[in-house]
Amino acid sequence: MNVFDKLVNWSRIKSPWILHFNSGACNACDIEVLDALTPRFDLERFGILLKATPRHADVMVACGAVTRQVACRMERIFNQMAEPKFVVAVGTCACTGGVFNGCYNVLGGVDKIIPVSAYIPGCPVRPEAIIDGVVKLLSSLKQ
Amino acid sequence: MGGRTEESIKEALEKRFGTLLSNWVIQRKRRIYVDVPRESLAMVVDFARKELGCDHLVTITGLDAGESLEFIYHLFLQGPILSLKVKVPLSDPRVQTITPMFLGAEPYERELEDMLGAKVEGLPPGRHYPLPDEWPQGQHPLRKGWKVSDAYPEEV
Repeated sequence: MNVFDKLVNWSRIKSPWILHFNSGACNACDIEVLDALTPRFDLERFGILLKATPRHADVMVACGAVTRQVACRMERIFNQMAEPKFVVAVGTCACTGGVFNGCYNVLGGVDKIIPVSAYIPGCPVRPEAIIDGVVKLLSSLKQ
Repeated sequence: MGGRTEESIKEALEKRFGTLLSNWVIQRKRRIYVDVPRESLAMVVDFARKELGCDHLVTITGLDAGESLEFIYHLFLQGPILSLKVKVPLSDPRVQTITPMFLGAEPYERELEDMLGAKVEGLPPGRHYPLPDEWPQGQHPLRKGWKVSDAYPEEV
């Protein structure tokens, strides 16, 4: 790894911009994600910024079980993100489908559609758990 | 709330439709249930709208009662709620649309078509609601005995 690569890697780790994607959540995890972004929990100290478009985002924060209606849209949005990209499944439903598994309109966890880098379980997840999961993802990127 | 009592609503409907309506139940204050044959549904709803001051369709509920499907139209009569029950056989689940009278009925009627497999006559063609776009034809999740494996055998 030359100096330039190191610089790029360092800047990526210091500014992971996120896209918040609701794939069929009950809104509880969404509120916790927004909570984590507030100054009280201050995710921005890790350089994390919420972006409104997948084209500017490095990390997709997906909440909720994936419904059949949203599955192909989710794949399209994932494809719109620039490489390198990561997906964080926030909440039990996003990890496995949770209690909605086997429902007529639910496909399952996020990993049935797109590759997931980090799973954060909880119903809903606590903001501290989100911060912990994100930091673990970032520290794994350093290696 | 409202000038009409439950009894006077029943009287007005019986005066107009006679024995067409059956199984009257005034369950309690402000709750009236009555069975309506499916051919007269639009007529009764129109009467409620014009003569009984009904300007709001609360919702349409549907259920699979084994041999038949049952649709209940809840009409708000400025206080009392008139619930019209329509029973149709499972083999021939046709029912008239009331969307020309209440535009808000359209999503409810599409839901009856998707979830219970009703055939709503007169409803203009449209997309699936609330099921996903690529949902297989002829699969209705709220029918008794329906399983996910009926629609998606490869997943189980």
